[in-house]
Amino acid sequence: MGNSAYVVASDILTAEHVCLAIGGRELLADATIRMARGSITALLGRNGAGKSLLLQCIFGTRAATECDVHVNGVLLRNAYTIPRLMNYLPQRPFLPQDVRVGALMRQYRVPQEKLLAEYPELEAYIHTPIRELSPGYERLLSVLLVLYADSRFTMLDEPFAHIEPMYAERLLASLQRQRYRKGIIITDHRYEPLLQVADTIYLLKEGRSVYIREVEDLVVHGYLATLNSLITR
Amino acid sequence: MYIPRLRIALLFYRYHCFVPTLLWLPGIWVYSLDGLLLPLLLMKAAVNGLLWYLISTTRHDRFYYYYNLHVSRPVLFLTWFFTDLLLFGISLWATALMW
Repeated sequence: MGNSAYVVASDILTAEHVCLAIGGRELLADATIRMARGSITALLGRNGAGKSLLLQCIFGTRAATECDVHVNGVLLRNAYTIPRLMNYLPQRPFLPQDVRVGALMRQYRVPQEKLLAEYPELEAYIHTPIRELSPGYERLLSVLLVLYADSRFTMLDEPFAHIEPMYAERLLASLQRQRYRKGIIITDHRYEPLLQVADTIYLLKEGRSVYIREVEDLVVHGYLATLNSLITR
Repeated sequence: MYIPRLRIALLFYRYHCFVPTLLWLPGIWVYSLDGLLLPLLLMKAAVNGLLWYLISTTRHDRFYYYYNLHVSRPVLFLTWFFTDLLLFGISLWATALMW
């Protein structure tokens, strides 16, 4: 926390009063988050806190009881249908198995030269269909496709899951680079790397979003037991 | 913008056409016996509705590939549904010509 924001444009995305109940259980109760293009926002929360649901409500693929999504003050419905506005990395595999890596890069408007310059090992897989990749490699590619795609906002749901440590570190570096051109919101249980790169942190607790000013607030709100694990690093 | 979206939606049909296409065979057989078109198309439409429910509940994570390309769920459904119905109708017509 505490990284300076690299604001390159005035795009501001706000999601306010997000309420969602499933089967009579209130999962989101007036959650509100705000992110700017050029910054990284971390969304933390315990299992079942509703992090993924909140992202899906913002994206427009989950019908919420109430959800006001604004970009620069303009109210949006089904934000995902607006070209090049935002994209979303779901937790589970979502890429078609028969499509080749290179074709996916073209479809998602990923700057191929740039991505291959940062991940030269991907060049060997350009003509490989997704079904021939290992699950870990498929996950890495999914994260990179969404992160490097031509969009103003990107929402990443557990991008570090199934990613080997070496790639996780490189992914952090990629996040730092991509923040120059888009707003990024990340949720992941590996909170330490998120705290390193995030400009803003929200904690989702009892359906509500809590703005985290200091890392100590994570202990106060019961997300972490102690700060020892952070301090010893 | 609509043409690329339609292409993506047709890709969705390509990936989810195996079972609906398999169901053409009994349909063609029944049509060759009694020659009634409308009841057959209505039955195919009902079966497609059920198949859509199964696809959208068991494979909803895969939909995010299309959502990230800004193709909405109704567009995917309508393209999938009517492409299959159209191709089924053409196959019946071709069958009638051969008989």
